[in-house]
Amino acid sequence: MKLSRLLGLIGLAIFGLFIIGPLYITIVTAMKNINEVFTIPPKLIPYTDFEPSSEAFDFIFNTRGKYTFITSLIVASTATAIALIPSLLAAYGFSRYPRAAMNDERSFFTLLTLRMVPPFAVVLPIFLYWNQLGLFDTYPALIWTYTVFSVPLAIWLLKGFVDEVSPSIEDAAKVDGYGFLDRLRRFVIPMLGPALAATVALVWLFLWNEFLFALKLGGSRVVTYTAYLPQLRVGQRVQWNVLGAIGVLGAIPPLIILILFRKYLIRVYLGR
Amino acid sequence: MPKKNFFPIFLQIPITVIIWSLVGFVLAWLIYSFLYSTPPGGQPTFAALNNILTVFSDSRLFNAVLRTIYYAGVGTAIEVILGMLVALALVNFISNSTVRFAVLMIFLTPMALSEAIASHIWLMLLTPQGYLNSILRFLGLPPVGWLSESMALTSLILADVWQWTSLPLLLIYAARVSIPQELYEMASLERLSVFKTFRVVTWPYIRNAVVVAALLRFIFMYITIDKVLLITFGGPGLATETLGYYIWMQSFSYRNLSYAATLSLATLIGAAIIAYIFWRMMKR
Amino acid sequence: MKRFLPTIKLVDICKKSNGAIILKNINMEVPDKSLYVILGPPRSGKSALGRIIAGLDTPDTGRILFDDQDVTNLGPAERNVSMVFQDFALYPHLTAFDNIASPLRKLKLPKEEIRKRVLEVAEYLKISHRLTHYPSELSGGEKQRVAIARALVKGAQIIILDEPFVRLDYKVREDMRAELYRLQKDVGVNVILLSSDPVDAMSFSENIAFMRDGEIVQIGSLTKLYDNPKNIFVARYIGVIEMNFIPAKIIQENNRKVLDTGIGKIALPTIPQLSENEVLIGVRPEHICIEEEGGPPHAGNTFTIEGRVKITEVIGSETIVHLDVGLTEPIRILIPGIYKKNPGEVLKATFNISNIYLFNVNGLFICKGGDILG
Repeated sequence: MKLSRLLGLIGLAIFGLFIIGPLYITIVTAMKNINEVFTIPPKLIPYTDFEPSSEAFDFIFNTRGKYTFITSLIVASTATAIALIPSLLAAYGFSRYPRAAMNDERSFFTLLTLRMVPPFAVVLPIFLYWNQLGLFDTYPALIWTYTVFSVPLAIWLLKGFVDEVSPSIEDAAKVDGYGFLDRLRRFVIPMLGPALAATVALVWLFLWNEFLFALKLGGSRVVTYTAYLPQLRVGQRVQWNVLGAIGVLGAIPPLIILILFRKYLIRVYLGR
Repeated sequence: MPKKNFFPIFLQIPITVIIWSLVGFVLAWLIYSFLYSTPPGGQPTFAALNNILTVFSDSRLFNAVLRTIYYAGVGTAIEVILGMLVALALVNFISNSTVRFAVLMIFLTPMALSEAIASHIWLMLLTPQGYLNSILRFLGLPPVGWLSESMALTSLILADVWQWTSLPLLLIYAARVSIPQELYEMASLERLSVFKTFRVVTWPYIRNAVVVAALLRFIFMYITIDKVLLITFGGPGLATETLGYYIWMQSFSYRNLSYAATLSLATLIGAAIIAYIFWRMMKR
Repeated sequence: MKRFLPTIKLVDICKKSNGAIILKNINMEVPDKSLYVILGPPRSGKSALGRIIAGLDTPDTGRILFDDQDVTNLGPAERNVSMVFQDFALYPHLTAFDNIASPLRKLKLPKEEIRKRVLEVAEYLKISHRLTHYPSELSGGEKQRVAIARALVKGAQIIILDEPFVRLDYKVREDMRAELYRLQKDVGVNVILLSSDPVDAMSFSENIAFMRDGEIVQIGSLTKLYDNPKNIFVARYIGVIEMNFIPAKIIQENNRKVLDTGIGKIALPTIPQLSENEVLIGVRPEHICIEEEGGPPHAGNTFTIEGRVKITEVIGSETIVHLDVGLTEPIRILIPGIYKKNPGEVLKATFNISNIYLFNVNGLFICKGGDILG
């Protein structure tokens, strides 16, 4: 083997170690007893260095921990569902009527700006808004906020997908006598197929992972798994193993989506 | 006279309603709070001038901005360069496409995780009694103050590099695989050196991806404060206080609503400018 | 719905897009039960016009009348128009059967009726055996037939085909042209064919509208467009191989008008009054004969050119000889049969002066040589 190839593979292996290392450590931590988390020498191999214990996962399932995942699920799913159809309509407009008012490049650019808005700049007003409406720490507040923030991403993705549906198919459908809603239902959406699923998945993922708004708009009733994490550090004893366990559980949907929709991942950033 | 077709406008109404239900209030509040300050139990007073003056004399703000530029700049640079090297290495040194694909998937994993999870993963590593120090001690080496005042910002950059190098990696990888193989065959026929081949064949194709990746990462690094919020709390002292974290502090800790609004407004204007730059880039 | 097949009348149709004029003052009358060809180069506005006739777009000004009924603001289904698209536009997620049935399902006909009609049309177009397949599994010709079947099945009175043969193989094209002809005669619909291929015009030669740059240049039968083209664009377009053009000056010799081409002179008794002294002489490649050694002499008024062979091209069962006679472009000569002439070989060729076309400096047609000679 050439020297350059060997070095290259070694380099890749080092990078791989860099990536996998922390992941492995997290999984291992989730399997530990709280006393065995940080030891010297570090206990990194289950069954050899330590006995795996279900203490962390037990904790999650026996306390409110499990509910945080359900909360995340409800909030992310509802927001995605609400945002989907309006976003599809808007994306259709941007794609098929690029010169019409409100559908032109400038409007699309405005949508793009929303994606680049720093959450820290708007959390306060949004918090005050819901607070004044008496909706602090309620599901509607977080869900609606999420809906608003998922629209730009959903439109960004869907416009690219609608662009790829041939307009002459719709012409044929018009000639066959189908009106707009019919065309959308019977032709555009079926032809979007997996692209639509990918959009739903990627938007949902973005919301599932969200932290800042979940932290500030939720309180004691609405706690997503991301907002739950800091709660485990209150007090003297940080429950590291539970942190690890939540990390592992919280990572499952993202990994599934990453594998299933890998083809579409790059569109989140490039749009096509 | 051409008929005006109102249909496309109807398509945009639902999302416009959704977005404005929040954006309207946000903008209005920010502008109002920038202009007028209402001390608790008091009357609104005109504060715009005061706010502007404070901005320009706020050294803590100035340092936060510098820190942010450093954090985002260094982080982006490392992520883009490292991502590029790994992407090119993947293509050059692993020829089996299934293996390559599996490896790529593994490399992309950290990017799929929530910032909250990634932050806690690194907290476990960086905390004084955490894994990195345990391993160092196990090897007989002295522990490092990863979250100390001198090292904290660097550690945050390290955590971000771990999580997000995969984005430039993904974009550059995609660009690299779109390069026709014939160009490389021609380059080897002409016995071009590795560097020359890179400059002449590879770079023109991946240049756009590199630029887009760099822009995206820089923007998102200055936008996100999750890691600061969860790992270092802006500290020790002010060591990791980025602009975003400083605004967070003003908003929720110090409750200087008027000043916080001023800073937020300024950041939003900055965001619009950057989005505009990004938009022009994408059009090319 | 009309019982008779309507005549179509377009009155002063104009359309702009993005500020550019796409269609300018289109006035056209399509007789009923006809096969009408709208011929023109790409970007001449054919597709835009086709879409307006179909009802997919509305014109900025003007009206469309079917049998004197104003349909300008009606959609395609309301006008009972069907369209076959250049890329066939078959629904990829539906079988051929469902594709064809699509317009009928919209009309909410009973299932049995739908089935009957689809099978009938499929039978007619000879694709019954492919009905359960998806478009991705069909060949180009089969997709075309499915598209036509879909257009026919709802009993539309007018069918518009937008460059239907462009995506087909050469041989399949010929078959489909014949099919289309048979179809139009059998079913008796109004067929409007949009095409940029002059061969299509020559296959359906009765009604041709020639379009260029958004305007209708000339309407007529093939013979009319061939013998009396309005200008050089029409003359060049209609014809298997492009017409040759030889510039000439008008000079007076004795008491006759003479066209001085630089490679020879053509004498004519008169020439219609012109503002300039220059004309463009058009000669069709098929009207030029190669003079063989010892061949029979040519009768009548002929003009002889001489030059060196540049290239010979064999197309099908004919040969095109490109002859360099000293003009800026070589003269193209179309000879039936397959001949091999070597490059550089010196040849003589002649054409009858009755067959020449005269155009003024603006490209407008003046007359044919035969009109002057009588």
